[in-house]
Amino acid sequence: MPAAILGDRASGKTTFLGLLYAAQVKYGTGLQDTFRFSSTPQSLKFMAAVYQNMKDGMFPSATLKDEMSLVEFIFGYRKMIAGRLPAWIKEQRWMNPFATLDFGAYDVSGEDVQEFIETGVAASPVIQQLLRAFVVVILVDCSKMTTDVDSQLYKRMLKYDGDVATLCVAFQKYKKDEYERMKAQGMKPDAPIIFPAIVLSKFDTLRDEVLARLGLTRGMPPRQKQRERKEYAEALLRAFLPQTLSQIRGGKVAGVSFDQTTYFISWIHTEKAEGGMAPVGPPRIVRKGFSADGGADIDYSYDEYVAFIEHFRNVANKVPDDVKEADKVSGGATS
Amino acid sequence: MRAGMEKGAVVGSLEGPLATFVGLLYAAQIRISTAQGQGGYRFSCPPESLRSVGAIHQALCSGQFPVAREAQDLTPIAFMMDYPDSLGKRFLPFGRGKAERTQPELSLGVVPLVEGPKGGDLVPASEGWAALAGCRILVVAAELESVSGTPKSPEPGDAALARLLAEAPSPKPKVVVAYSLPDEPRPTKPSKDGEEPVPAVPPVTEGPARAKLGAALALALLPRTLAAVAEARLEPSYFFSWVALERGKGGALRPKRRQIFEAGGVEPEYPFAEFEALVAHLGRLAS
Repeated sequence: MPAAILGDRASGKTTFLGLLYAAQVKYGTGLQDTFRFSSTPQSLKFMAAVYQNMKDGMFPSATLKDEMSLVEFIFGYRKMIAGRLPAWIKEQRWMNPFATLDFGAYDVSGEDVQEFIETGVAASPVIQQLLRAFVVVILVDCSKMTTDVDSQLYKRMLKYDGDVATLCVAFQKYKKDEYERMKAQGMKPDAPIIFPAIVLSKFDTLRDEVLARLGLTRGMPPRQKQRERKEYAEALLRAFLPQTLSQIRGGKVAGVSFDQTTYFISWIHTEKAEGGMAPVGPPRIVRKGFSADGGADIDYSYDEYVAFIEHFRNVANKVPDDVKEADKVSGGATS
Repeated sequence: MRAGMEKGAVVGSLEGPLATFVGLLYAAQIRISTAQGQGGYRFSCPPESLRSVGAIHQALCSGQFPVAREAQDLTPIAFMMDYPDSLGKRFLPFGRGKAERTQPELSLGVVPLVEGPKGGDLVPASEGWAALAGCRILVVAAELESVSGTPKSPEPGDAALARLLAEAPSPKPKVVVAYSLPDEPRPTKPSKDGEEPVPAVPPVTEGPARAKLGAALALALLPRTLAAVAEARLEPSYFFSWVALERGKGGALRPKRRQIFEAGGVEPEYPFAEFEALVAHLGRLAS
């Protein structure tokens, strides 16, 4: 199943990918082979380089970020039955033993995406690939959430909200058009559905005055308290991404359902100077001491990343393989 | 258009407050549909619509007046408005009920009135005719200088609106008049000490007072439209819109913004209650 990760410039996309790579390295080696991660050689090299930089205490450099225009990787989840068949049956390739999600990470401020947002024409292969996504992960940069409505940060968030809302309705239109096309061809497709997830990136940078204005506490409610967690996240989205929230809720009106949105937070512990102030120079990542689990590990929201990986196990198993076949057949249709 | 869905259009002069009115209608729908705890009203905009209305929204939220230079800046805008299912829609498994349960009640387009090819009266922009065909609800966006006193001259689009109504096939579309004021109207000073100031516009709960004020204003501002409405034996409804203004840097007037973080973040300062009532009223007309 195709999946898209959307983020604004400097929203923490590269750091998110590096932390996701770090999480799957630790998580994947700890499990009984029910989760697999794979990537193209270029993307793997990129994510490994980001991970290595972070283990050395540094955030990804601009040079490193410029090296990759599109990062792609695959999550594979062993299926309950097909994944446990004898090896000789699996080798016949009658069915795929793993349910997969094919992720692509896209810069919403990038030229291809901006051209699509402004014109509605899906000319580039990157956009045609983006529109096929069933899973949409939206990165929301908490450092841009501000009560200063005349600041550049606020204007940046305002534009991002409009851009992401436009992309959400574009996904809906594409899915709806595909559904109608398949019905016209005599097929019996399932009703179109999109699986959204929101990652609140740089969560540790959320300003106190924003939390105070929204009546929120500093910490996100734990994962077990799903309703409180949803209300907390939606309070932030209602204030800073209202157009996107309204169009996700309005998906059913357009004939395409959005599944219940799931929320994750991403933070990474950085060094502070005396008095809790930001240090002079680029921020440095705090590493935990050497342990049996892995030396000099990065201090970050590991549990959230594990939850992110596990969340998509359910999603990957929801879409049958024939959807992927139909997706291949449809090819690069324009919006 | 899907079966069972009513069609409506917001019509107003391109040179007038049409863009601002549509932007406020969008902002109000965002706030209504994302309100905490509400699971009823939802709306959707097609991608091309969102591009146009999103630009207007961004301008208003940035403290700028939206500018629509051409009809094409507004004609792509359409709102698919879905209201909580009525009892009949929810429980009738057969016939229209079943088919329509998942359909939005109303598709609301935007039709700017522009100068005709030979000058003279305004005419609907050619790109907007698709929204007018089969239209059952007309929302007239009319520019009003003040709620007190009599308008000095009719609305520029009055003749075009009257023609639209006269030429529409029966049954005629229902008419909603939305007056757009240049700024927040000031309350009337009380005549006696100790009395509360009287709002310039009666609240949405005071139907008869609003109808009386609206009709009096329409007599001077939209005489031909009012005559066409009367001939069709219709009763229009009236709403009021404005954006509060403030002086920005350099002293220029700009839309004022407010921060209502629990209900939509930053938005222009406008009468949300009016628009909330308008959205509900459109739902009643469409169902």
